[in-house]
Amino acid sequence: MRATPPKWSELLVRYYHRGIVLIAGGAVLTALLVTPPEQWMPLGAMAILLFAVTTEMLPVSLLYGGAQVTLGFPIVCTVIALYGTVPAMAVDSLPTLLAGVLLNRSYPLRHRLRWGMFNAAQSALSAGTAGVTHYWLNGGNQDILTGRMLTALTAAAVTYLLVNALLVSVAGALYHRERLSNVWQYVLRFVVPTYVLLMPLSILLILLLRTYHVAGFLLVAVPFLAARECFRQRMQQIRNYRETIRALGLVVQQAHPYTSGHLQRASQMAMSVATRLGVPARHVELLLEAAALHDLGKVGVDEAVLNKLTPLTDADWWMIRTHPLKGAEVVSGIKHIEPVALWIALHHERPDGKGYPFGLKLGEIPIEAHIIAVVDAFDAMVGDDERTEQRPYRKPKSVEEAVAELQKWAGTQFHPEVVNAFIESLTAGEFGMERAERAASTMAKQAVA
Amino acid sequence: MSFTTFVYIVVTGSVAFLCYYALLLLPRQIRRDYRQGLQALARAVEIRENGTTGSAHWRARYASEIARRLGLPARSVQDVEFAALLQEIGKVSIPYAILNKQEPLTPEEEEVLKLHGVLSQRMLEQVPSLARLAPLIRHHHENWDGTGYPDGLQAEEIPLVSRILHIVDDYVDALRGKNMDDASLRLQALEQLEAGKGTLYDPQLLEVFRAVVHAETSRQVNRSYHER
Repeated sequence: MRATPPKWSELLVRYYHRGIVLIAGGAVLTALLVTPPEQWMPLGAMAILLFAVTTEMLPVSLLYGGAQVTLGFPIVCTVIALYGTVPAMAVDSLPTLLAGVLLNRSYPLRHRLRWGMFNAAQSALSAGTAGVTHYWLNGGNQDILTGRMLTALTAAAVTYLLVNALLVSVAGALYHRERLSNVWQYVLRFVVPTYVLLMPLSILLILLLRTYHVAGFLLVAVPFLAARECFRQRMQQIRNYRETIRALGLVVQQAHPYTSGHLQRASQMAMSVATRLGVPARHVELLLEAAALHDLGKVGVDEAVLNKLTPLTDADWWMIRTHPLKGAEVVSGIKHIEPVALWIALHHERPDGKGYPFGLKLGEIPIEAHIIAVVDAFDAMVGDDERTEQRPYRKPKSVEEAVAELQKWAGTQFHPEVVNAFIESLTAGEFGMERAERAASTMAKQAVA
Repeated sequence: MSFTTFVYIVVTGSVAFLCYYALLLLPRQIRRDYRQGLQALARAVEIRENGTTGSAHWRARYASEIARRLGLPARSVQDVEFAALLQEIGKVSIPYAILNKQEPLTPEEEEVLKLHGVLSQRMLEQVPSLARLAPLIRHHHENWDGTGYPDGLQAEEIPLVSRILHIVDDYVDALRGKNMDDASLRLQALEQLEAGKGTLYDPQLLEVFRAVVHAETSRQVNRSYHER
């Protein structure tokens, strides 16, 4: 149960959803009225619909941002070219709706229905506008592989992409509170190239379907599924490798006062704070790795210095001050998370310039390094079981005390905006910490009183 | 050439490229990234122990070369390489003061240092996809005559991979802080290992290793001759 009432941004998402669904419904009705009933669903389009449902039920996850690639796009292009607008809308939206409701069972049904409806609506709108564009440029022309037909098909594909990207990115911007430009950057960098690569596939499909009809379809379906399987395996392999590297990194750090529990909590917190601050999606994913590996440099520090109860000598300070650089040196060798090295090198810098190793000031430190600093400090203060034994000089604080500490040092030790975002995430219950949620509700009560 | 032929060629070409990318280019790239990641984490030990920079790299290189010469399958060669990279990783739990002590270690400290094989083993056991390397790493200080640690295994009882790791580890250690490319230093280190033939090391493997080092030296001599 959430104690807080829905914020205006959540209401906005809801109204946006409903609006799109209504508009799409209107579009479908208009299309049905304009098109003679015998062209609503020709037999060939029916077969394609079945195939589309199959591929949509077998999505392939991309590595970043939970995005998924399906073969929906080349199929829609094919249907537009061969059968026209109404079948294209059906072929694009019905499988989306089915997959949205039947897959991802971990979400509640209402949530799945809402998103499934929205996705189906935006698919119908994209396919509809693309179909109209194609009809407008190509007329009822039945020739294939002419310049006119290819131009019309390309224009339809571009329309589809633009409408789709616009609708999805606005939803994403509202829902994840990401900046619109970030979403567009993602679309341009990942989605467009993928779809350009898929265009030849749709031309191949059109050729085969024209020449061999449904038999041609079988010729395509088998390699399609094989390619899908191959792609899925590669993605799985990459994910396993990255998982291994991160796990080994965590084990290496375990030798030191930081337990893997701390590092994993820190990375979860870092991700939600970063999302709240509008950090680009790819950097949010990288922050997971950065927060998990940020203390690798401690391996190069004498643990006798870390646990010293007497004042530290200059040599001791030198050793401590260089540990972020040592960590960065190690991490810079891991190619898929290269940008992370800089954030790790700077995670002990402070806005007031009193941090180490360089003593940089507010504007000179990347926001990701500030985020690591805040979540690291918070989790270290709140502390937990095993760690307190190893740090006898530090008693764990309550969540309220730790928050007060963060607020006290905001602007000098911590980036003020990051601290604010952190507290917002904490009170919204995004960290999944029981203690934090309890503390948040008491804090909310205090604020009311 | 008609327009239709052109379209056919473009379509076939792009499908062929997609296949090439998915089946050959991408897997190679994925494996390279993985290797680099493991190498980077092996570096973590090197920042802890002074003067060992680059040793994991050399160990992995020599060990995989021996495995290749023995005709092991590609997957095992890769296992040998990764085991050589990660065999010292347990040293992150050995006290800093012992690892970096200038004076000779006391017998107690020696005993602590000897734990590093077992510590590495325990660490790798916690990572499911690397757990198969753990037992191989445990035995990388077993001697051929049974005087090694931690279990005092003898001759063929020691896993083949661990015997390889033992030779390579001692060789790289003998050259620690020196120029690995210097041929005379290399031969000197090889002679040092020769003294342990049949007592510390598997005699046959040592012959293979000797061949590896000689091949590298002659390659180097050839190269410098042609460069001149």
